[in-house]
Amino acid sequence: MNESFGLRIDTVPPARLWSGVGDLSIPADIVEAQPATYMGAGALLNAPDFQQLINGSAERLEAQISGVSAEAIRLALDEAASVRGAKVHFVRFDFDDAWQLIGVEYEAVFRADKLTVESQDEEGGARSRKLTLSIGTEDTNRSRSPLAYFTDQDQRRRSPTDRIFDHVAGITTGTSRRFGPR
Amino acid sequence: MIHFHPCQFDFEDQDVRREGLTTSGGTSLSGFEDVIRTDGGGFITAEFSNGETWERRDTLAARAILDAMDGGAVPVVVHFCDRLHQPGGEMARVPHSDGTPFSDDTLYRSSGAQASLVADAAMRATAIRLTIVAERPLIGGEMFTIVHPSWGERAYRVIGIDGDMVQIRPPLRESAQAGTSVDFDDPRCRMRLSGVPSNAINMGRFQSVAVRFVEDMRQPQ
Repeated sequence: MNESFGLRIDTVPPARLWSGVGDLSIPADIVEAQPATYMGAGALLNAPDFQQLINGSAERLEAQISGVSAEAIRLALDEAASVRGAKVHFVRFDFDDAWQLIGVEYEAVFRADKLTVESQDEEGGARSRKLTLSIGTEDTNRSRSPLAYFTDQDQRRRSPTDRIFDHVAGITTGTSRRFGPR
Repeated sequence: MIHFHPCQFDFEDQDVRREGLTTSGGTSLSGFEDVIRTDGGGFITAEFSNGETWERRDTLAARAILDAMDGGAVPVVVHFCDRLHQPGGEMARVPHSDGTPFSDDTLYRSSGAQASLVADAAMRATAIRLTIVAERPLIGGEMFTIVHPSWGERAYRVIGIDGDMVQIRPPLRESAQAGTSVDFDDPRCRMRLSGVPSNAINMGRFQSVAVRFVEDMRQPQ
């Protein structure tokens, strides 16, 4: 059995990159409404390991993407606005011994934070350009100090109609609030 | 599109192979190492070294074509020129029935292997059905080329034969329809230059060329 890895960044339209070579078509599933094509060919430079912890510390990860492919430039220029806050799926593709796709597994979902372009000197006078996509879990932006709260803004991002944290902005340290309508 | 014919430079060493990446699970207590491939099937690389360019025109031709590749930015069709290991056999040349050649001294030439797909093949297929008429039977290890509509010329290697079903690597770059020509006579691949080719001159006169290509996997425009 062979496996490959991919990243799906939910921009409009979504950017799909995988660690293999050439195009990879996958059938429609819970994430993709239509059959979709992942782009390979070294567009994805490295995808980080991630941890799945329950009540553990929030994670921040960085995925590196080649900065010269047409798809990456589209991501950096045209889609820059929709990258922030976009859902990022870590995908595992399982293949049989004849390299036929037998399974697509969405292992984790993160959120993209910011995209930075990094250009640096390489050996032999060459230059390389990479895009670094910083991604975190839903909790990454909230520090875990005693003074941190779930905020209405965070909750609305996940679920736009949920009003459960409406009054959080009114809370100050040392006061207690009565539940119920104001 | 630039075409690179290695036979022009009489390379002593020619290495066309498929490269890729494996991920190891670490070595166990018993010394056993579990390995999976994570590259989705790999890509073709070609390395030619110790090319002979004794003639002035060969040296200049080598310089021109290596410079035309723009350091790997442009795709180039690399021909593998390895007829001995193809099913086509020795090329037969015959004159006209009265023993005379054409006016430019060339002769009729045998066409080599004729092959085509007999069934549609999906993108990333690793088994294709084909029909072949050739002097030698397919035994595995041969290379062939399919010219895809958007990915262009791509090379594949036969790794196993079962009737008219042929197992290949790497997986097909693009789907292909029944009837698509499968070229065993001139295996070639769309590649790009990798690294810096050598073309230093020895003793002010003789030059030895070494060049390496990797399959060009940039998205076709």
